[in-house]
Amino acid sequence: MWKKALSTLFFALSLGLAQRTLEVWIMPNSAQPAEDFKALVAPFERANNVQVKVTVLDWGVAWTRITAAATSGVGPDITQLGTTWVGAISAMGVLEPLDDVLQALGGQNAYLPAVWNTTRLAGSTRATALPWFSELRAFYYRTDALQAAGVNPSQMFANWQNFEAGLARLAASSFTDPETKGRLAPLCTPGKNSWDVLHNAAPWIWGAGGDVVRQAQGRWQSALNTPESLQGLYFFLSLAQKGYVPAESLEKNTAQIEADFQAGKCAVFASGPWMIQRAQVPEAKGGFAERVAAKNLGVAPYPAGPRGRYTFFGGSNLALFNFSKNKDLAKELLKYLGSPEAQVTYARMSGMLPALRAAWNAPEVQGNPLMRVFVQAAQFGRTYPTLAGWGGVENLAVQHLGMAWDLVAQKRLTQEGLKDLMDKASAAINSALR
Amino acid sequence: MGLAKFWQRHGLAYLFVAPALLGMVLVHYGPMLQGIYMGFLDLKLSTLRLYLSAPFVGLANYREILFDPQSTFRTGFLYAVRTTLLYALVVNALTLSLGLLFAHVLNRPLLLRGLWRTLFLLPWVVPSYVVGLLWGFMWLKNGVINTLLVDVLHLLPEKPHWLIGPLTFFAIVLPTVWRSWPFVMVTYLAALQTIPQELYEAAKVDGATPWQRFRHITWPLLRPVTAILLLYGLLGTLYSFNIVYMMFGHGAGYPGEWGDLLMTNLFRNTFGMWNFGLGAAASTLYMLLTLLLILFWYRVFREDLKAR
Repeated sequence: MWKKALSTLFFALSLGLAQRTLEVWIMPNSAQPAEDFKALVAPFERANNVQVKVTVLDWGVAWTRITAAATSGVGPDITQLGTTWVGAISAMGVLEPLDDVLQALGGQNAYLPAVWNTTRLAGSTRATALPWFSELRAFYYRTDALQAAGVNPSQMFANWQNFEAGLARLAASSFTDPETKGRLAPLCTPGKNSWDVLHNAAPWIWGAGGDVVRQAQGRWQSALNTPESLQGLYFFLSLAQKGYVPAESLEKNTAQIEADFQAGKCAVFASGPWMIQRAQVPEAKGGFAERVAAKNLGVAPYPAGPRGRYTFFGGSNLALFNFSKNKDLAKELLKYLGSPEAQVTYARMSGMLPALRAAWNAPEVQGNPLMRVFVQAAQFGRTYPTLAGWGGVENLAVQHLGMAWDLVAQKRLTQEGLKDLMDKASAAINSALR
Repeated sequence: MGLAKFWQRHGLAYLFVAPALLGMVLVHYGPMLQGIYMGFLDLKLSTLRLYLSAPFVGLANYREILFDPQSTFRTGFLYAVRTTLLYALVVNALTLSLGLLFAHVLNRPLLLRGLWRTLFLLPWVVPSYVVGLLWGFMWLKNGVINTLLVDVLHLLPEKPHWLIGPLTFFAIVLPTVWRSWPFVMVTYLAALQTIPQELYEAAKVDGATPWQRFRHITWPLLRPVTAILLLYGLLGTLYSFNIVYMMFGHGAGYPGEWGDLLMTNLFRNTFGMWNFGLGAAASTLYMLLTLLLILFWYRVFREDLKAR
């Protein structure tokens, strides 16, 4: 009798111990990051008798924690990676190939080329990251302000010339915000004090036919000082120098500019899809639904430059560390997170666009006219190359573009001055890429 | 004295000190030596996995920092050295003067003296990163400082950019001084109260003016305290990070050549660019520079620090 009871107890215990655990590191992608993620994976946990342990890393420490895990071999099974980090972490040789997972989800055709490029180190045949969600930029505008200024949004955002002409009309307009009674700045954009200095500049550089880095004779080199890049950059920066951007914007960061738009201070500003979600959430919960800006919200893709229409395309991927002890199970979780249903659910939680193309047909995306513009803008999406040394390249680019913004704020920007700065940036970037 | 006898007499003391010493070696000297060694390695993102077996490059990192005119690391580093030294000089000159002045004022019989002391001490209670964050907002073009200077007091014709260009230097000096002087004041106040009143009374009888009393009694007796305050202030300003990081760190994190201090510069270049070898070499150089300054300080105040 006792023997039987004991053996039953042991059996139950071993079953309990057999419930496997998967550890996942994510960043705060939604309002309640840990709770939202737990809700997302709950069906997977039940179906596989597995416990998914989630740790939320602040973006400020995530890079350090992830690279520390990569060098020490002590870390989670799965980690979120910013798309621009994939190259560096892949190059460290610590990520498990995920070609089978991607194949199970539909392979290359299931994703936009810009998204597909972020699945691996540039030039590699092996995929090491699964696209999770996409972040891209488009312009938000105030429909009431544009209407009052006699500006047709579809024309204004058609090309650069029209964009500038639209800004000029907005500047001349006497429209005031019904709430603040103040006039709206035609365009708000952060200057150097923003983490996305390069993302803000990149669409203009690409639109003029330039690039941040490009391959020459099999080697990556800075292209920030090419005539095309300089042309695009100068056009963008000179919008501020011409007075379409309020001087106080230039020392604010992205969050402050978002707040300015929400508070009714700006007619036009560029941001990601999360603003659509925030426009539906009341202020008490971190949104701005009560504001006039939310009730008069329009979205348009970036205007086309002389060499094409582009927008910055970022987002996050998921990767599996090769020191994971539960690789097969972790791959199942990745397949689950990459499935259309989970993609749509998480997009709704985070306000981002799903990475999987099939998920864009979901009513949550297609039923929202503003979100549809982002889907349309995604066609023009472009990513940075996933180089191992991209982090350094981006930091150097950001630093020098920041100096260019300083010149703009002091109204001292000239084409020669910009070229000089970008020559310096290029020398530093080339040295970092050596 | 034989070893056995020595041990008998002092053994227990060494035994008690041993854990602390071991801790110091493990936590302090070990990592420091490792850091110095890293300065001789080509340790960057691509070699990070090798860590301390990354390619040994000898003095190459030092050569780049000291002599390579093409190196952007060097340019930024030199700007940061210049700004940091100037920052340390200006901040300490201002905090010591202000602290001494207010200590003198508060050392006199004064209505509501306790309340004044508490009020003056408040900035010191605010953590430095909060100071950076708050002043970052106040310095904005449409922030409270410009509103006060231009709209209310009409002291300036137009609102300047305090966070862009050379004015950045003032934007980092003022909050540092604002936060640091109360500590100096309190320390001086305590020191002033230890000076025997008889000295002043005797000087008065001899016909000494207030200035002469300050110069010949107060100042010489305050020199040891000044020395300690200066050392404390020097180390604080030379390793200052929080205020600049919080004022500019949310974004690109480059405050410009007049706002970039050595710590923010090294932090950005080492962890942002993943240039650990170069960063370690620059840190070692900086440590040597700080040691030189401390040696200079010691030479100046050697006599004052001797126990009387």
